[in-house]
Amino acid sequence: MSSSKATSSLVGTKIRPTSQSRRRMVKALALAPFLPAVLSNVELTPAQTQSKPEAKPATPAQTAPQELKPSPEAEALAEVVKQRYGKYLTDEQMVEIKLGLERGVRSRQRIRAFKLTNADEPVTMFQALDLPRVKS
Amino acid sequence: MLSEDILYSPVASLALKIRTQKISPVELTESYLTRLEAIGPKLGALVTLMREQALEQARAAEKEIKSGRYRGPLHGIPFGVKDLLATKGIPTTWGAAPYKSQVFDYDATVVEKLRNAGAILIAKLAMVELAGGMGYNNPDASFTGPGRTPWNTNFWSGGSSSGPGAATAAGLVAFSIGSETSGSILTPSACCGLSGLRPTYGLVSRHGAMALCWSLDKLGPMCRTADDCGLVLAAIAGKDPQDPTSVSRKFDYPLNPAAGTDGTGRAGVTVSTATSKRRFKIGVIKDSTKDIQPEVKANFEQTIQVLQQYCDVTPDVVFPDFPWGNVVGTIVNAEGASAFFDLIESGKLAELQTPRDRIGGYTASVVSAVDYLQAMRIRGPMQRAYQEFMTQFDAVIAPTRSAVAPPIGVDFDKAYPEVKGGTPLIPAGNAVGAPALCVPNGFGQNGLPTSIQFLGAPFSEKILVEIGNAFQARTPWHEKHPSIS
Repeated sequence: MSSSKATSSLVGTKIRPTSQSRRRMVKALALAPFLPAVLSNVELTPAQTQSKPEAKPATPAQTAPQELKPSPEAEALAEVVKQRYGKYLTDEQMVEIKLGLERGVRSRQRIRAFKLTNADEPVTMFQALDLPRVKS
Repeated sequence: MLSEDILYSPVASLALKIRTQKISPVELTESYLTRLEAIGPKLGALVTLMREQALEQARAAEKEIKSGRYRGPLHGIPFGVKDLLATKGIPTTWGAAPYKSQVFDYDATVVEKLRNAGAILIAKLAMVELAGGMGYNNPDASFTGPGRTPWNTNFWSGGSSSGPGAATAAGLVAFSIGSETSGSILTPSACCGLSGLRPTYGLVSRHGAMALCWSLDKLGPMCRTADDCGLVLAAIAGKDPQDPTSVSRKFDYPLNPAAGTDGTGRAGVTVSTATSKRRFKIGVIKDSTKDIQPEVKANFEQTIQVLQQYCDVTPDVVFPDFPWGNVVGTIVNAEGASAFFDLIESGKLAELQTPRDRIGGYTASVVSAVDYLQAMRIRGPMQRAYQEFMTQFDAVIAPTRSAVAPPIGVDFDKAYPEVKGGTPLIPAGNAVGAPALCVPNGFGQNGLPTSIQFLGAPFSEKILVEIGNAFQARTPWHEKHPSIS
């Protein structure tokens, strides 16, 4: 439901950027200056969501996927992937998948940190169809 | 074979020549087909050449025009589409090996609309496999090989509309249609020195287009001028009952009645001149040029000077701070993994070209429903903040990309490690469904084009094109063409 409360809560719910979060954003964008954003968003996430950002800007090498360490959550998700799709995947690919999952976990941390009100609906567009009635 | 001067002409100029019967649609089509055959494969731009159908359509167009039935500025104009648009009886490969033999028995609405406007579809153009939805990290991400920019074929043409970018910039088609989920029209337009227009979400029907993300996918023109983008968008915009997300809004491109030389002021005689009398309000995103390639920065700063001739430019505008990239990335993962559920379950991701794409679908498939819905809920506050922000400006600007096109054969994160800056305009604009126009604004390293993007409010395409027209009336960059044969 869209409400005036939801609208007026806009400013209040907005994440207030800290200098650290801005720095992380800049670092993240640096990783993919020319990527299609579809990809760059995925690539951006590690640096945007690190819980303990480095004091100085990281170079791409510092944040390269091979230096990510999968968290317990990423390890658990990797188990799900292995259960579902392990038959298609090599051990080497599973290592890459864990790193990809870790990037996703970190990205979603920032989404989860965003404050929403109960009135904030997802922007889906389901509409009930007004079908012709059965003729008696 | 028509001269390169003609083949590189903007649509508006070609239209005038066709309308006044100075060139024939058949001759024009044959010339582009010949050039596509010779150059298209070198650029990794071509999937399917449609010679027979195109010539048949060109002959029909010629006959119609000679009989006095001129349909408008796209009549007799040859074009190409990204190979994710369904074309009846012609393979539609989505750039991916598992779909190489896929054939639909209907045309995408955009293809149909352009045919009705009299335009001639001559080729299905290459693209990054599945429009990049599986997370590619290297230019070599299509079963047709990497797209190459005609400005320097050792470098990428951008993605995921790689073929439309390369083919339009190399004068192999008069214009093309690309798609954007988040960056896939603007990036190749920037890498190839084109004018690219990402329309407002819902303005152009997606019926018949490959779905990557239902709530983000858009189709739009990739052209040699902003003016051409306006002409093409006018032909493809509008409500389509077959796409429930399409909206009941038309895009009537303002033709300049004083322009042209045939004295009629009719369609096809537009030129790149601003039609608005007022000064536009432009905001420059703060830190747009911080830690980007020096040539990109220098060209952007010169562009601002040009804009100041006809716009009120506000520097250092702080863009609303939201997790733009995180939200778009989560939505792409969730919707993409659902859209390609069958492919992922089948194990045929292994047939994709680039190693990252062979695993991306598996990681995407474990995004939870709650995380996806949280991302979709944040889009509401994002839209409202963006709406409020854009009450101050006709457009906000930043370099389209912080660096020129990356080299072929190098993973993206290793191409320009010294470049650390950038803005979130591309994911932000896509998250809120806003339109953006990018135009070339000079050259950078290795003779590669640089670009500026104008991000506007939803349904402000006309203003963006006017701003672009006025910029191109004052600069030569859109008139430069690569030397390729």
